[in-house]
Amino acid sequence: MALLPNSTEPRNGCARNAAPDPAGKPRRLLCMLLTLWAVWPATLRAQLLVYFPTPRHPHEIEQALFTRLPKQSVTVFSRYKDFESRFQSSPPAAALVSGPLSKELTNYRVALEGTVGGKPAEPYVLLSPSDSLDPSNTDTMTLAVVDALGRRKQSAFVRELLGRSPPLLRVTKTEDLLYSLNLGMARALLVPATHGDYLARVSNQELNTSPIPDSERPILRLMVREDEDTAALVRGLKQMSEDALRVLGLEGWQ
Amino acid sequence: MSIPSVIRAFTSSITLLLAAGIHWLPIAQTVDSSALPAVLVVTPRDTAFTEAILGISQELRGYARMEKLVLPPKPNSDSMTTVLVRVSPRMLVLVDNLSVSAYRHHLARTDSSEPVTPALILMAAQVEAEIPTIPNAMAISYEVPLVTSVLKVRTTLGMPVNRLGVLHREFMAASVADGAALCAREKTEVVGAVLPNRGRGAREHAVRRALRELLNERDIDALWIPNDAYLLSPAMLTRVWLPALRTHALPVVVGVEALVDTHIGLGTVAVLPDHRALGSQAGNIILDAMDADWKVAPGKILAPLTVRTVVSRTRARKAMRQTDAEFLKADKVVE
Repeated sequence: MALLPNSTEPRNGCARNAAPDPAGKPRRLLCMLLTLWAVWPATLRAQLLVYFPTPRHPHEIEQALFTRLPKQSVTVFSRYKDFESRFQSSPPAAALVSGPLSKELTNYRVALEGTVGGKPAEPYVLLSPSDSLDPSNTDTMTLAVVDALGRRKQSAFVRELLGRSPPLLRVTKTEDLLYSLNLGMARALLVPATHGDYLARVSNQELNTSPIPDSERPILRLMVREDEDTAALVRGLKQMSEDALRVLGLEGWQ
Repeated sequence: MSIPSVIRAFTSSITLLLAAGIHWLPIAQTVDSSALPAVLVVTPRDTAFTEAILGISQELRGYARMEKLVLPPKPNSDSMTTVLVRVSPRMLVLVDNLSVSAYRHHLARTDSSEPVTPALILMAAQVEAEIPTIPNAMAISYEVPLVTSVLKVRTTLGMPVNRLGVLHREFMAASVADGAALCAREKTEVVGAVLPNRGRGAREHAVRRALRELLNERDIDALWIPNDAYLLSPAMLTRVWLPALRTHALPVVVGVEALVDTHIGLGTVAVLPDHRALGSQAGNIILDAMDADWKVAPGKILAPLTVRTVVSRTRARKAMRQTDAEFLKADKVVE
């Protein structure tokens, strides 16, 4: 999912039917350069890349961000693989990513941290249709997770959270987690607590939440490249309304 | 403006961009792909499969080498044998029924005592009938499960689906019953109307009567129409479905995007497999098999996990009785 506002709109005054002008050559050159700038792959000018697992549709995330960042070039991804390949081919000035993913972005620093309940971190839980689960007894239990870090790093993240390596069912989107549970493809879901609340609300099944000890991780972070001036971006995000923040799964920034 | 000056302008733009700090970083590790195990994707020449194959290649990158065999409309098994010998794949992905059939012919001509390469069948119709014919194969079905459709409609339209009407022929009874059991966990009751597979009982007047009874007397709050070519023939559409549904505001859930199209105007929501994600799902199954020393679960059929929705704005607003409803959770909205 990629939206690049203003990226293809004409930004110069090149009139097609203008009368011949003695100073036409330099002007044409200027027009060409400006046109080149306007149509130059928007990837090069992408200021903010956004990817984090969320129960929200990318359209909702785009709308929430565009209300405060109308002049920024924002690209929202709904799949980790698309984010990864774009990030690698064209590193952006900034990235709005989940806490675990933020740690993978070298050469970027934390500019803002999203908060819930005044805290920039939240715990992870196991969500299951059975009775409460013991997180230390999940070695052979297939757990569904959103693949938000890539195969190896996702496995390492789960191992770090649970202290073991259960079989994983990797899904593309947060809503797929519920389908995997309904279809009996996974025994439980491993999710941030707020996503667990959302999925339990959407489902009419009785779902049990089992907390995972010491599992608090950063929620959402704005990562900016060291050499970029991203003050406008930070300002824009800080001015987001409560409703827009809620779409990002947040209550505030710090 | 001469060509050299254009080139100069172009290069100077790049220089400016680079000076502005826009550059490429070699983040991805270089992998010698020839050293990686090979996975052969066998596919017909059709753009309908492009996204799924892209999804597979994205998942396999850095782990396995994806090779592709594009089949002509009438493949011969010699060309498949040649490619299999050359590539020597650790696993096969058979996309569409044409690939399954071509591979079946290849197997029929090979020594049956040799171990059969594990295979994954993808985007094939009637996969339940195909899978027993290919040894050491598993599959991802192309049919979206009923319970997934129910959940997706609930979140996309924001409407509860408590009683879902389903009109189907007898041959689908088992799959509808399985779907109904899963829907029951989500507190959705499936109200079925079953027609015989053929004969008088499956003719237009019988379908019309069954549909009217379902719509008017069974207190359903949504209708799901299965992908049955007989029930969705042009004659049935124009003479049965469309006239019967014209006077109802129920959400109608279909499994084909064209049925939501303005010209046909049957469905309120189409719930379809997401092809790229289907490829990702396949890629993960391949990598799981790789981790298990190239073992698959023969005969196993998995459901597609990620789906996309196409919503008819006009009919959805009518169904929801909200004239200004927007559908931000839909992947595509048509009028």
